[in-house]
Amino acid sequence: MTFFLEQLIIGLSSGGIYAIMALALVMIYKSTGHVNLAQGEMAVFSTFIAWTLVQTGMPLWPAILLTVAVSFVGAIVLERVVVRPFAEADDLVVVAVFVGLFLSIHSLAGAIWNYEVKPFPSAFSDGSVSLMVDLSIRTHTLGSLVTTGAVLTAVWIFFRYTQLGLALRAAADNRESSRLVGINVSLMLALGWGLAAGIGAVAGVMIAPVTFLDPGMGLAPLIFALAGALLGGITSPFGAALGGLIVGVLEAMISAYVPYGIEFRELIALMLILSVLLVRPAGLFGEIVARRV
Amino acid sequence: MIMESTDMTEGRTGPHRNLSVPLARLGYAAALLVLLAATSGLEGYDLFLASSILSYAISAMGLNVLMGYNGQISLGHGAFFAIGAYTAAICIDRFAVPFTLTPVIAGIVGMGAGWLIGKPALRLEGVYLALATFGLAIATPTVLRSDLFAEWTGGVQGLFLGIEPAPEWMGLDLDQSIYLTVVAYFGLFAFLTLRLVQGLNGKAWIATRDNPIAARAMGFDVTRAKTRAFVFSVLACSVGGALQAVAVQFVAPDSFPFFLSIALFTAVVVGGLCSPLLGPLLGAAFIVLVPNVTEEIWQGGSWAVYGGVIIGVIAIQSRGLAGIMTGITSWVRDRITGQTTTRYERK
Amino acid sequence: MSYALELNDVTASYGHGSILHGINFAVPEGEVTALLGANGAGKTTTLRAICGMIETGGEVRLFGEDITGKSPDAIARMGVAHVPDGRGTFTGLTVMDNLRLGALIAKRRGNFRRSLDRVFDYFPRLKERMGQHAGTLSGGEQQMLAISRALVSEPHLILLDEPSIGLAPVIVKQLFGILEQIAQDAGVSMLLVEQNSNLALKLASNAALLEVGNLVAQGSAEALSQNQDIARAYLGDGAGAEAGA
Repeated sequence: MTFFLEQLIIGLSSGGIYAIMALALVMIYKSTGHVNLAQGEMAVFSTFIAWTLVQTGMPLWPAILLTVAVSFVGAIVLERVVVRPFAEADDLVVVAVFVGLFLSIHSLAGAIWNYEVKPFPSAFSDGSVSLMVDLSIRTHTLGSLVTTGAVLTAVWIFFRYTQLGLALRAAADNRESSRLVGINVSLMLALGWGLAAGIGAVAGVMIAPVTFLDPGMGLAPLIFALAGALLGGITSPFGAALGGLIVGVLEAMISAYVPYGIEFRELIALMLILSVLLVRPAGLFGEIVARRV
Repeated sequence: MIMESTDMTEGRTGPHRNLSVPLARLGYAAALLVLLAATSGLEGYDLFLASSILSYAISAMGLNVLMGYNGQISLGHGAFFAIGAYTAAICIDRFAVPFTLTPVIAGIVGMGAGWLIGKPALRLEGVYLALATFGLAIATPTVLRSDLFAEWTGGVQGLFLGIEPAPEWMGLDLDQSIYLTVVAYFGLFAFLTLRLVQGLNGKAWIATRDNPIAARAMGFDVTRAKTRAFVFSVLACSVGGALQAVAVQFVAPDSFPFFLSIALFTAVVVGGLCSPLLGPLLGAAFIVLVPNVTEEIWQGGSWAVYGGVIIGVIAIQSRGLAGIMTGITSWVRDRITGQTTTRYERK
Repeated sequence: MSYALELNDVTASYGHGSILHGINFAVPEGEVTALLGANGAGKTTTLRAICGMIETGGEVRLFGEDITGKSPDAIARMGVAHVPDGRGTFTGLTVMDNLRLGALIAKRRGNFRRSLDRVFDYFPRLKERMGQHAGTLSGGEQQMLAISRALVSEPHLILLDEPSIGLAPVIVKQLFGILEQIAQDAGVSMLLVEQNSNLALKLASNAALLEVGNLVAQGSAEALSQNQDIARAYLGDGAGAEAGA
């Protein structure tokens, strides 16, 4: 039982990170209809920036905040310069652009910081917290869980209650009407990218102390986040976040209880995506998007 | 070498494709002759590179049918490439099958796997299929690396393929035997692809891509069209994988990284969607040769340059290198003949 | 007389197809002007041209200021509320969020509560539906929502594109009653596009008549509805039959 609880908390902790990534994917998907395959690589790049800042002697938390800000701005520039020119292009061309971005960012991180695996400091004190008799959890695991929870709540409040959040949701729902109520839609699209990259950076610095930092570290979280987003419904931010949490818990359980589970967790995530999509193509909370004839 | 052959095939994918069938046949024959002549013209590493490009081109031809003609996005066909390669390796390693026949077995095994995965996956539309196959691409290396199948796959170590050259009386060395085998399969797939794309299947694919509902209303079996495109693409990718394994004479998990799927996707898009032969050839040459070039431009960040080149090519021409070449040749022809050819535009 | 909106030689086209061939008319301040015409006459295009949603030539003036070539969101922020055909509700958002969006550009932010009370006065049904997704509303309710969204933005000029379309006659009657009330209460200028000319002419004080991209008549609503030739040619015979609804 204690072991189960421990796995559950570990699962929720990584699930929170997948939930953030899934949310980042949904933000861009809802406003543009495209899945940003480079989202994971962008988060890794951000994490390297944080790592560099820490190397120069900056304390971790300010470094994280600065990284989030830099990622926010960087992603806006990226959207404007690289992605926007293809806004009206075919799906296939846009996917190719994302593939190009994926390769470029991945390789750029490798070129700047090389492919050596680096330890990344935890934003929380070392050691562990004892929750019950026989049940102690690493501080980082708990801290990460709390942080991701806070980010998810903040994002929810932002979209639910602020005018800017409302304008962002409107731009994703109906571009033409958004213009008619005075919203600068083009600015909203860029802001969506910025926000997605900003929260992606948080996910990166939370997962790096666990997986260590190297340019390839973004792939596994990306696929788990994708699985989560598809599971919850890629049109539903709430669904995607919940899906991310579920995938995190499943991953922990599979790794702990299924033979060869650790090795095949990506494959199992894939099976999960496929089986959910077959039963309920829109995911648990998503809407089926009407197709134009 | 490759460039010469693509010049030969150009005429048929260009504006005059429908004008003269005999001329087209002549072009194909000439292209094949050039490929055959290369056997004695090239040697060693160059011959290996040519084999490599042709086996990737076979895969890209299949994938182009799926993505270009049928409009389905796959980011995971590297998995089928790997299945083909490992099938070939295991056939040679375990059962001493002659290497010339391994692509056939690889094709059968690959189609079986493709059917298993495609049956559910094909119910997904557009971006969902892209994501599911993206997952497949990421999951493949972990399966290959696993201890679970190490007895067959050689695990992380991989497998060496002991390949016998052709009998001595044929006067071919090992590289040449491999290259000629690859050329033979390339010819076969070029023929198959053209037949499929220009026939009723091609019409069904295009109709399904452009408007599935109207296609259904016109009596096309949309599901069957999609399945056929998928199965053909899987077949081509596994055969390409088998030939690639034979050419390298070695398979290991690291030869089939996640990037392989991306590379195949790139070959199709950068080569040129819906250009049945020229596109895949140019695309295959791109993914084999360009990394070497970008490596020289910026050693550490070669993939960054590569990614930039991908975006650059489709920014110039969404129909890729084949589109650019078609544009240039018809421009040149117009200058020479002094008339304007009607641009042959597909979607 | 001062004008809320003036169109001078306005042309508009979609790609190569020219739709408006240089039209001139004006919307007097504080009054309702009806823009009439058959299907395909260019009524909706005129509204889209005013709002900067399509390539436009000539000159569009809003309260004397040239707004030609400005972006739709900039024009909206200058106080033009466009209720487009098909209503343009944000179907994925709640009724309340739709209204909040309308108020995004309202000059006096504190007024949202008051504006809200006012539109709930006009359309009590919306109050009951506040938490619902707009996509689940009936056609009539969506039209009410679209008009309310325009009202809470405290506009100087409202552009209404065929508010009657697709609605049951009894709902249309209700809706036009409320529109009349709005026009009287608020003193806001209104440009109303309608195919149902009898309804429109009852509500409007002025009218303009479009025929395949050209303006063919304009004047007071009364004069236009009296003009038998125009009535027969463009507004349909048996005038009054529909309006009686």
